[in-house]
Amino acid sequence: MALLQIAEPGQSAAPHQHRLAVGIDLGTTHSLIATVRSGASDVLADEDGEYLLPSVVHYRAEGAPVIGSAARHMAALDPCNVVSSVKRLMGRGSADVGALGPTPYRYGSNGAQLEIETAQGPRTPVEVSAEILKCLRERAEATLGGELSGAVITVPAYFDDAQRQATKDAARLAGIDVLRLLNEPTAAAIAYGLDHASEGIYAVYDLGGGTFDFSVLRLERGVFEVLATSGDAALGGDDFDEYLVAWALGQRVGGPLTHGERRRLTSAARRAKEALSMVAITELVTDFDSDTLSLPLSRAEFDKLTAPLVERSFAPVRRALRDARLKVADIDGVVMVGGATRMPCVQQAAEAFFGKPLLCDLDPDKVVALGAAIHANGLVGNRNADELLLLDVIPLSLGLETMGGLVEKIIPRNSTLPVARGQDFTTFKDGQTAMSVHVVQGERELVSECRSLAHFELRGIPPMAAGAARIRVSFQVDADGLLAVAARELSSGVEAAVTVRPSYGLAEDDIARMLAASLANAEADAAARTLREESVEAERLIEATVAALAADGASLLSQDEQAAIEAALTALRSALAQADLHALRAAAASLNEYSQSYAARRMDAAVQSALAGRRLAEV
Amino acid sequence: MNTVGTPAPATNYYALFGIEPAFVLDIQVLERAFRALQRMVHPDQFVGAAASAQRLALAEASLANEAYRTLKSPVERARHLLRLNHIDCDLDSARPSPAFLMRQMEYHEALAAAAGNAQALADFEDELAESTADMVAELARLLDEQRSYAEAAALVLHLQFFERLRVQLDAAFDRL
Repeated sequence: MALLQIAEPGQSAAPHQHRLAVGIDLGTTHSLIATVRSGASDVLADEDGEYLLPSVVHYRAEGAPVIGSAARHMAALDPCNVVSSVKRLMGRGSADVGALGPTPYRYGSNGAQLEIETAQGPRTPVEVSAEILKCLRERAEATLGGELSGAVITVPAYFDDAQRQATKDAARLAGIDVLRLLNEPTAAAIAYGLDHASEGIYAVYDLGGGTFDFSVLRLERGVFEVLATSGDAALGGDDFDEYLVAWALGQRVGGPLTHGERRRLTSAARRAKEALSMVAITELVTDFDSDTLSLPLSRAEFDKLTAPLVERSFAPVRRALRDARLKVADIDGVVMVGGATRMPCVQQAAEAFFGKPLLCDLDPDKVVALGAAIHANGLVGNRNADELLLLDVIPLSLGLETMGGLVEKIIPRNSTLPVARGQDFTTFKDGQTAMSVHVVQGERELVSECRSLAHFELRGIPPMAAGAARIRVSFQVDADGLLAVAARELSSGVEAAVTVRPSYGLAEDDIARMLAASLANAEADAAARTLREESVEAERLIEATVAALAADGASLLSQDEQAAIEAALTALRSALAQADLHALRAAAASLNEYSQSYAARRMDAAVQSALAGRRLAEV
Repeated sequence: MNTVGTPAPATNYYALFGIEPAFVLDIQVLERAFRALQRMVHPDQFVGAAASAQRLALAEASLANEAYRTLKSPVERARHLLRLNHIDCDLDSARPSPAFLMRQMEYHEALAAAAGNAQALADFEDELAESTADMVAELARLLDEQRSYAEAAALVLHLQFFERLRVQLDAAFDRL
């Protein structure tokens, strides 16, 4: 509704029906879906009243995959075909598997793309996540009684470009229109801040199942401004379980465990850990194939055992505070998020570090999904979007490889999104006609220690003396934290552009193929769905353009321009009536083209009047 | 690949926020103008809008962020102000005085000596902050009162060096 909102900032657009928008917390161990109903954000439960969906998928030899608790119950019986904690594999390649610790899976790879062998054939982490998302989408559509307009999906703030892209791909595969990727701690801050009408500097300490995030935000009159974020993409509640498993194995005599035994031991460790959040002493009990293991465990022992993990979380905390140029004393409140913050040792350590009581009155499992739902509701226009302004940051620096394998940083971490930045480079050899561009993400100075995001080549540079060519490389990071790169030789205009497809390598074609395959009735259904989506898009475009013309078409456009836009409108309306996808796309593109400079003029006019209004108010 | 330097901005960032160009500015006024602008142009306001409007919002919001970042930082603000007066100052292409080169070396040595010691790094940070504050005060005088841009440009180079030292200091803290 671009054109409309520019016309009347802060006022709702033309009255429209309530759109179904949801927030999804796609977690390592659990996932949730929430929506805003009658003004309040609430999580949606399944038919058994359960709102937490275990992020577990069981691929059986026959029939559709099973998702959730039923799949988790099969973990010990069919360990190779029950996929859990798949979030840790998102956006990762075969080379990263070693860093994940023991898993029962057999991995394959299709080019750079990681695959897990299952009874249903190889599955990528994106496909596994899509099953979880599809299950949540179906839950929401059944509960809310209609098709979803779109969803805000949360990701750890510390996710890199590849992990974000993979998450977005999974949602597309699940038939979900992604309104925005939202950082988990920011989502928590929205839920918390709006609930308590908080103002000031707040920290969010988010220890989930598999990831740790820490963000510092300034909350002021509806503005949520992230000052700095940091984290550890491989630290979470799961690691506490693994420490307990290692400890238990150290106490036991016997041969190596089967995959099934290992799964049972991990579950027992998780149960013991959870029990110790309530009681001071418990027993870790598990059945092996030939014997039973039973070990008493006190909270004090558990705390001592896992102290290195808790301590590890404070390195990112210190880094974020320093990046934000803040001292511990500047923090007005600390919001605790994620199931793992229920552990008393984590709470005590955080309380000692920040020197003030923690804010944990919102359910740490739900708070992220609740915040995402509030943001989704605003984005589809169900409420005055003007109430909330979200300014988030990029968690990791972006740079280019230069001579000698060094990184030249182009966009430093904690830059506010969206961000565009350019840097000029030159050739280093006489007559050089091509240049290779290597984009990396990370904080280290050496390319080999950063994550490689994309490689591309700029060809056709006119031969010149070394140092004479000027090549401008531009980075654009959007509000989802996703990067697009373009390179251009300035004297000749030779251009190369890439939307960064992460090195795990899911090409646009792969997505289209998987999308088609995942829809029950293949091609016909996929085409119908596309047509429906494009029709909705076209209707929105028509609605917005008509309203804009009525508001200021006469003052901002010449008669010819108005006539051209009217003609494009008519063409789009008739394409819509014919229900022909190709005609619809062509007509929408043409209207978009005609209205582009109009939109720019409206934006200028609106910005001018906003600034003028403010200056008057200040006088 | 060799770096040539950042392209000069085509925009007067002060004008974007409706603020008179001066080195000393009221950060709260800047903040209010920035937020008012972002409320208009942020991509969140254009979800579901036409693709052309989304592209425009992305570009405008990126520009607003860049302008805000520039004007918020004293060094960047001074550089921007000088550029508006047709003076380009960049540490990479500058020829610093021998005296300043000496000082740079001393600072580098002090930082190297403090590496690995949290207290020493914190002391170094305080010292750096103090020197920076003095130079910023001096810049205000040169830019807003005397309008001696050439002198100011020399001082900006020193400040830029301090900024880089600050980045190296952050890296040293990261390695602790």
